[in-house]
Amino acid sequence: MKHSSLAVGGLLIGLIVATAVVGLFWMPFDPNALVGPRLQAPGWPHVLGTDAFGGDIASRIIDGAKRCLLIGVVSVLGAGVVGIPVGVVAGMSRSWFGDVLARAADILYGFPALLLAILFAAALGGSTWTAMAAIAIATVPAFVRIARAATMQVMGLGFVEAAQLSGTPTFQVALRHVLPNIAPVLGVQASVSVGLAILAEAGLSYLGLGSGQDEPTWGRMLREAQDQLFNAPLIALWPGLAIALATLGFNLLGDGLRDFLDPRLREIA
Amino acid sequence: MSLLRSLGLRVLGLLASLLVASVLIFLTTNALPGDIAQVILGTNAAPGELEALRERLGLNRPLTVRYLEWIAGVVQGDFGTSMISGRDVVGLIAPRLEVSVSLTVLGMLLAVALSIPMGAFAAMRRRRTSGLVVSTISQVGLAVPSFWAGIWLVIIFAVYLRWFPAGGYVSIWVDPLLWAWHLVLPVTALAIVQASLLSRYVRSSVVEVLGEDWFRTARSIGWSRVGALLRHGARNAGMSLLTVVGLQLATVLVGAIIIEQVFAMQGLGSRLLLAVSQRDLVVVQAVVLLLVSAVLVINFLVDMTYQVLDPRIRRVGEAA
Amino acid sequence: MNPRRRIAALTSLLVVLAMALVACTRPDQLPGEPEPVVLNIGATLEPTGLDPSTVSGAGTSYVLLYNVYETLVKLDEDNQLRPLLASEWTVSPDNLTYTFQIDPNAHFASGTPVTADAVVTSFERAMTDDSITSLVSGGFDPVESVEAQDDDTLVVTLDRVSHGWLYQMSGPAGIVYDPDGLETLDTQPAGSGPYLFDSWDTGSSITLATNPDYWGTGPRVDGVVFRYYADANAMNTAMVSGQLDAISNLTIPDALQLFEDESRFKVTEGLTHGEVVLGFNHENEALSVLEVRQAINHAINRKQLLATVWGSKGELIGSMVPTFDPWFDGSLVDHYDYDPEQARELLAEAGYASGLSLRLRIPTLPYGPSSARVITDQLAAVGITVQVEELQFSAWLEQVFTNKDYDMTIVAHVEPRDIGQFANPDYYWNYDNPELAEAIADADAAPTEEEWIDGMRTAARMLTEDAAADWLFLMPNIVVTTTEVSGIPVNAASLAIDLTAVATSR
Repeated sequence: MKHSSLAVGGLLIGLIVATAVVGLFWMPFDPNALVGPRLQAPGWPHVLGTDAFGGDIASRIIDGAKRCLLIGVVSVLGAGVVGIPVGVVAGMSRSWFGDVLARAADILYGFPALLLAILFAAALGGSTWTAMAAIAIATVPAFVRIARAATMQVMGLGFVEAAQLSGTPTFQVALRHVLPNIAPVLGVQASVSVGLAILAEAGLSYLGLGSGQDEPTWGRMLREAQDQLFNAPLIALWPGLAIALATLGFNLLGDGLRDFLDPRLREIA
Repeated sequence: MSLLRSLGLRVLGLLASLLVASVLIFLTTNALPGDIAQVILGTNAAPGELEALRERLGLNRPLTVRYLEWIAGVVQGDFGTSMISGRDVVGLIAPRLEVSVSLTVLGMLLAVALSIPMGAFAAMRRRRTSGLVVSTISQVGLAVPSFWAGIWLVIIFAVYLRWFPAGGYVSIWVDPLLWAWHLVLPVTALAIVQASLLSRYVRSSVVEVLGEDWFRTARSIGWSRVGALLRHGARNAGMSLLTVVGLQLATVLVGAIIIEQVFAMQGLGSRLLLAVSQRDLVVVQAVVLLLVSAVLVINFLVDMTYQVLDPRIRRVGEAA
Repeated sequence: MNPRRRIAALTSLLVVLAMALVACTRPDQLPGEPEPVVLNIGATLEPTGLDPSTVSGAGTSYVLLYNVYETLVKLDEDNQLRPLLASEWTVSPDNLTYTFQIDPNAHFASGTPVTADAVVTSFERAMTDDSITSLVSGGFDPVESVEAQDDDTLVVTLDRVSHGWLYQMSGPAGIVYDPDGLETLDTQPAGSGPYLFDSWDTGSSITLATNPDYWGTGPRVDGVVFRYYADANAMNTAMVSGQLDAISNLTIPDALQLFEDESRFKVTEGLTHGEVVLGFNHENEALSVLEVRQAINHAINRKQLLATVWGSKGELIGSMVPTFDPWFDGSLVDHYDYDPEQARELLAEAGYASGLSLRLRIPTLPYGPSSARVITDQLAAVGITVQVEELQFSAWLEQVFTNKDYDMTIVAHVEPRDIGQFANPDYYWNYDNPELAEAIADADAAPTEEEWIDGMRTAARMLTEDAAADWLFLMPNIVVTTTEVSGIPVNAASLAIDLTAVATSR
């Protein structure tokens, strides 16, 4: 019971990852081809039925799994690569510089990913890349904040101060003492952020600002399904369910990880 | 540092943020490829017409000049006129504002109303199955895309049962009852996700309170759990909730864009999307500035309220 | 029950009660109509301005033509010219002089009578003013002079025979504006039609009020509101839940299932001038080769495409001619029958046996992405890899239409009789065929009408044989109304939705 979040979360994510990996080598049908009659109900050989054009839904869901992971992980990685160093620097700095960085992060913290994505998509055309860029940029402030808060917590620990006083260069202190200690908190944030990224991409695809036809994502499948809501509502079920399960998985994982955290850091996460 | 001084500095900080935001917004919207003159004239434009229209709209002047002109106007309350329809932007946005505000405020209120009992219940029953069930529900609610929830609400309540309309909006000043009727489904769709999110904060605050010494003391004297909670715990839980609500308000305001699409409501979000697709720069700038300013101001207010209310934070802030 | 539970239960009960209360008190009648009877019409293509002569895009004419603005002659549902402001007209035997009798009863909304002078003012503005679009000014190409012989008689002299000229005068080119309102046309339309422009809430709706002093027989409603939806699904659900009286053009054929209840809805299917064209950029190396273009034509199963995208509504056309134009040639439809084998052979002949890759850049209009999906699949079967890129319409206008940065694209051309676009080598297709241009020009200037029609038929055939494009299908006009509404035209023969005869028994 105690670690159920972790277990269930891990299970769900494992399922998605497995699906994605399988999808790299095999899918029941070509996801982009029109392989059957339109709007067929689930059965054989189309286990989840066919969509409005005759594409196999199961194959498209499997195909979408890798994209879902790609978008989620890459956006968050991008955000982390920028946000964590900035946050650590802000946390370690004793001067006004740290405050300025924090304030800058605060300005951007409120800037919703959607707005950014709309502007990017309008300028450059909606695609997987603009969606990832927008989500990544919008996630940076969260990492900056968390990294900064956690760093400040850790700075208060005796051995870090000692390291600094003994003359170890700041960079090494950061690398050897700060990072390992804040890593768990960052891990929780990362997990939660991936969940948010998946939801954000779904929303963007629904608005038509996400990936194109050649690389359909679950969000895009939902958009296509909306046209068929009254004839075949089941088509909207599968991609929506997939999105929910993936998000749930990452949220639960983040929650579960939080339980393993040092109580002081747990407050920040 | 005195409270007044820290307040003053923060206000300056807010103004600085607003200024920086306005510059960024202006640069971004005016760097968009896509020519508004082309959109207006459509597929039958002769080359000379495009140039003439661009001159008329003042698109050929240097960026700094256009920015200063815009900012000067904004400060006086003049957001310009739409390049497409020639109408005053303020007049265009005002009715949309009402839609978005109604959606956001009601959505948040419902979410808070739902989250408090949910979170408290989950906290107090956290070791029992019923508490776990509620916790799970909130986890699932978080993971569900709000527009998916909206779509299913439409199918069930608008198309099959026909209890509520599938979309549209009526102003509260025109007919309050119809206003409410049109808002039930979209607000519910929004609230499902928000309530799930908020209830988790409520839950953890309540759990924290339940573990505190004074709480146990109160209980031992004879207070009921709820009584003790309400009497002493409400303040702390309330603060935590307040912060989250403030931060989430911004997300909800913009997230409502998607809900607006599902229910065909003419709010700020859909107006923005339309202006972007038409390259109506004046409207885009105005709406984005409005949204970003709202976010900054709300964050500022939440920050301030926290500072004033909680002496502990203030002292920590002073030390930093 | 402990107090905690009590509070929770009470709260939940209150919430449920509130919802139920609101649901039960919903009105039977719907919002937006006090005493006057106003029709709510759902539409998806909003105008970009209020003056059809200075802004193009079908949205403006759609709302204002024939409703607020009138022309000398109008197009009826069967694509035939009928009198409007001109009660009758004669053409000289050499086809160079047109004499119009203006209806003496005709007057503008302002009360000023419509005289031949007013027409002259409008026409001369269209011919000389800088801000006029090329679609409108181009309609006056053959015109040498426009003269008011007296108050009610107008004489137009052409410098060459043009059988197509009068037809163009039924469109936005031929609008007769109120001379007193010329300065403010951008914001206040000034015409002579059965409706008055009331207001435009951009992004949301346009309201037209019935003109109580209309000089002809007007509609039997008090006004019309066009409600714009960015999302076609939202429009359809609004119609189903009773918020709209009509949908002017259904764009999701699968949604027809929603309107099957004949006690509530009436659905009509008609024709349009909207040719959905898979355009080729003739500057592309592969597409400049005839065999490649022919191969694509053979590889696409247009019947299946229409079934998937439009539920088999609409028509197959074979060239840039809709079925109700006089020179429509049905035999062109199967000129390139569905034959993937033949397609592969042609590609091999052209040197592309190992495959070919093309960019299909489309605007995000309703028929675009779905057509692209089917085409991608069908072309893949013959070895052509298609990369689909969806652009917002304004980005499409800039990148594809202006900068011509594309290989293939899909867009509907809705202007009536726009086959002439293929005669223009600067048009976005980069299609340079001087023989075709000559054929069209000769046909228009032919001595008799028969020769004109024959000549146009030949031109259409030339286009098909040269595989200048692939004409996927002709868009259908699917109108859904409540059973009380009548008078909305079945065909969209002009750019306008003609609401002159609209009525409701509500």
